[in-house]
Amino acid sequence: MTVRSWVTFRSDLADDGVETEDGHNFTEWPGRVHVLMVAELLQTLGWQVTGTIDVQERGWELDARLDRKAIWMQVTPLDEVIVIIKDGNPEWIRYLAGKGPGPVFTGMLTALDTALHNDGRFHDIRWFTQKEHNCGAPGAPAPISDIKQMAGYVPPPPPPPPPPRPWREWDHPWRDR
Amino acid sequence: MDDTKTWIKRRNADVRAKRLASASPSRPVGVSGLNHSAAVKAAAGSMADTAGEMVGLALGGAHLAQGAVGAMQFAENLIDPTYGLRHGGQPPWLPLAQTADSAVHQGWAAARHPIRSIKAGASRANVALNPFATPVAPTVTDEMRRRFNIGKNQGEVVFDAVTAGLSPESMAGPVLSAEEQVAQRMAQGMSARMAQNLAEPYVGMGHHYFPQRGVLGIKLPKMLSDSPFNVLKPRGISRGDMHELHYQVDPKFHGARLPDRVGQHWSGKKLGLKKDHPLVQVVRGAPTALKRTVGGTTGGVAGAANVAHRERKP
Repeated sequence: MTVRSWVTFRSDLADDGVETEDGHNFTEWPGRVHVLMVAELLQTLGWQVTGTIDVQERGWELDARLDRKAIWMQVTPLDEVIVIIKDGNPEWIRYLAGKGPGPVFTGMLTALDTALHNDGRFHDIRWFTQKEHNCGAPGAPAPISDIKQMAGYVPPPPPPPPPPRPWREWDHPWRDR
Repeated sequence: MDDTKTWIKRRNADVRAKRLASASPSRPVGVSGLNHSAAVKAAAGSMADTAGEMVGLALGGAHLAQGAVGAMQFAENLIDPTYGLRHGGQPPWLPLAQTADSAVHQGWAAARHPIRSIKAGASRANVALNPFATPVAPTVTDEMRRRFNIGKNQGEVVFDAVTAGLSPESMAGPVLSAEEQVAQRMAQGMSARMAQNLAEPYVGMGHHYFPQRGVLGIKLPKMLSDSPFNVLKPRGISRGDMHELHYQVDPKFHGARLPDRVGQHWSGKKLGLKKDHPLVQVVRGAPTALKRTVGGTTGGVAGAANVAHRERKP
């Protein structure tokens, strides 16, 4: 199972940065409208948003909680909006066993993907792993993917039958007697 | 009678030992089902490689500190009037002269057969640094040992390369004037407005080495988080140079918005920039104040340990 926790999309929301008087920089960086929209979506999914921070050229950050589970997000609006979602308190035993993040985190990713699609103001929604995003891969349409569930997957042919077992004297010791 | 019994017991023990030895001929220690799994070996090797890289980085620092202590010791010996008395009349520069002599001999030997020397050096480096240059070991433990050693060599090479002059300031190349930066960026295909905006001095928050969001729930106090020990922001750097540096050392920085009048955004991917290797990010992304403090502390501790060690000697 591959879990993709970086999502990029294009949005119809208006730009909201506040520029300095000379127009050379920002006093409030763009992306507030996007981070508030993501916060709203998370709240509808039952998450409690604990804060949003302006991190200047990196965009905006958001912290959210659901019971004891915490997540962190970074929203950077460039040509497309890039959202990085991180598990705030990962279950290390699952990670070390190679099982990936727990069901609360993966459930949140899937629900967020559905909410983004249903909202109607976001387009070209693609999910990535960090490595895929950095190497320019095209991404996937959903955050959780299993190779067997992907469209166009052709199962490998069944393994050939084992060769016939050679006759051995001790299998039928009475034949030659 | 007792002697005979003892002799029989000893003989029986010898026979048993011989039988045991012949029953298990040179079977490798620790063989199990895992040793036949290429995936387990690859995973264990990868973990050992990462651990080795960390050790290699630390070793690089230790060797640097060792060299600094040696240099200080040599300088101290040069001005020490009792050195000759303590070392049988030997002048203090003799060890250095011997080392230089040995280096000259080795260099001369290599210069006589340059191609052979280069080939031998490249082959040694390949074996020491490339995990694919040597075959996978037969057991998991041996594979982990092999990959750990390779990782250690890689870590040390990275540390040496970075400390040898690949610091952010030196990597940025010679400092260009604002006009030169504008010309250079326009030659790269940027618009004049964008080039002018990027040539302005950077006034942002910089790159936080220990992230502001914290790691594993641990956050630094704001005073420490925003201090020069945690913020990479080279003095006098331009906006464009800072974005490039930030993109290379921060895995989560992709680009920055520019004001509307510029008409474009800054994107590292669009410019074809590459992120640094995570190990290089650890060293290169560290603020200069932190590097100086860690380097000075390491050198000081190593120096104090060296002095204490020498004082303990009779």
